[in-house]
Amino acid sequence: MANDDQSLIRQTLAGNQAAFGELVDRYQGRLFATVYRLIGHTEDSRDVVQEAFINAYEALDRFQGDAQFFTWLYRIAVNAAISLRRKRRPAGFSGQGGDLADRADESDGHRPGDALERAERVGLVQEALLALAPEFRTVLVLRELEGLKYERIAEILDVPIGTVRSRIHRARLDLRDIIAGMPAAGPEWNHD
Amino acid sequence: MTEQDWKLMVAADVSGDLSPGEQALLRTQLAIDPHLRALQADLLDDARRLRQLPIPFLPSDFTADVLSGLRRPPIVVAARQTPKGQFRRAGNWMLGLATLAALIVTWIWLPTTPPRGGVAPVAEADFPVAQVKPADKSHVAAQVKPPVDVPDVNVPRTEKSPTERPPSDVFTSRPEIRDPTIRVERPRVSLPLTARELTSGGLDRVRDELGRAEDHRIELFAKDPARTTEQFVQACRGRGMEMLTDPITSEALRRKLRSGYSVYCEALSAKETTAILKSLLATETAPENLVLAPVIDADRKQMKSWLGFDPMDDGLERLRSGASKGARPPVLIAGVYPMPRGQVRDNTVFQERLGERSQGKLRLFVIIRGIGS
Repeated sequence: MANDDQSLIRQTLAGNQAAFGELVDRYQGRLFATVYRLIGHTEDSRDVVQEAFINAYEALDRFQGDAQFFTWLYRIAVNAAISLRRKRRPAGFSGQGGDLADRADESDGHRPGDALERAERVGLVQEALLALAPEFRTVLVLRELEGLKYERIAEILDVPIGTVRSRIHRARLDLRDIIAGMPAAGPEWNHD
Repeated sequence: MTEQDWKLMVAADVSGDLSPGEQALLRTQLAIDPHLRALQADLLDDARRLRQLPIPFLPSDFTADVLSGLRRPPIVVAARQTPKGQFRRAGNWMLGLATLAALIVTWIWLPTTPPRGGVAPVAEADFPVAQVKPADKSHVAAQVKPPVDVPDVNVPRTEKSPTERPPSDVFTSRPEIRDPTIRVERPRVSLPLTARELTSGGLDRVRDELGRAEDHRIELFAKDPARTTEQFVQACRGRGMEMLTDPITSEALRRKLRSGYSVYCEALSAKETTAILKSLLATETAPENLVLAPVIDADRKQMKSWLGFDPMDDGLERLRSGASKGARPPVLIAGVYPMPRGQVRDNTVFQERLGERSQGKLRLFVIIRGIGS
């Protein structure tokens, strides 16, 4: 795979734009999924991924072959996603940050027995993910959703492996706190 | 060790980062601490749910979009052997002199600008030069007219040569097809509109697009998605529809949570839908953007995971035969978007209440998302 990337990069540098199109085809899905998890907004994610590819194309002659193209591309996209997310106040729970604990207390369903049922709410997990601090959200997304190894995450974020590890542990606990503060799920449906 | 240390250790265990010795230590603590055990179960479940999050899809034309956005080719020219020292300096001098010489020659040889309304003076040259008056167009016809008469032969000719055709955009202009058995349809594509565009004629485009097919996905981007959802539901209620909702949604709406909401509805016509959108635009919390798009497989999968069945599946008609006749289909609301998998356990509520779909009514999958801070 890496060799194929190198070959496509060489062809792109020789002026073959279609070769770069193949690289886009190859990585757009994974990159978009990751950026979407970091931003939580379809259109913004699409813009970020598009811009990442364009930036990568323009800087392709400076790409060092010692790193994998995908890692390099990820670094560009993740940095763009994080900075965009910082610029814009997050929608959803993250916008209200500090009062999550209060909300948990006033929730009728906030009982220990509800934990598993609450965890079934995949949609709420997505919301909770967006409420995490960017540095925690990023490592959790790259680890749990992308399945990347610590070494690769450290390379992408340009931080020591130990930092990646500790951030992931903290991220898990923070995510749990946020989910626990969300309203409880129930199997029955209401109608008026 | 503090409570926080133990919690971090549990998180590390979930990540698979503990050594055998640390694992043994944690097991001992877990055996005596029920809260820690609960936390471990929760963290494992969170990790599982994270991995199960639905994967969003990019449109198929994304690569083309990227390629069209490329500003300059990153072509790398092979490294040149540049002269060094005095040779490089001499080269620079020669380049400068050559440029200067070229400028002087160009200045000498360039014809002077013709006086206004006059005729350009003919430069002294050993080749014939046409004299053209500015307002005289006859030279154009003279160029087109053949020098000799060509006998008229019955050769079918195209009305316009390819070079005479006006430039057109392949995406916006329809090709002329003279075969009456062939009809050219515009492809269904996403129609993104801002609030300003919607209020200035964009709604007509929305209505036209809604009238072209039965199934649509409408995405609304609003600062207060809960309020917009309530307004949408209220407008549907005003048209005699019922509403089914789940506890999560009820709670989220009650608390005005700024998460996404999704609605499935199949009781509105194109005209009614447009009217509802218009009424939403007239409110203080009007949506700022709208994206109208055809429903794709990913949307139907989402609805299936939400409702337990795909309401757009034509094979469901037989299930609806037992529904009460005459009742209008309800508006169905799910909680945060994307819909939590397995949220609904008893989907017979929907299937029984869905009822028959009336002629001319659309199948709408509406997603209302929050934007901004």
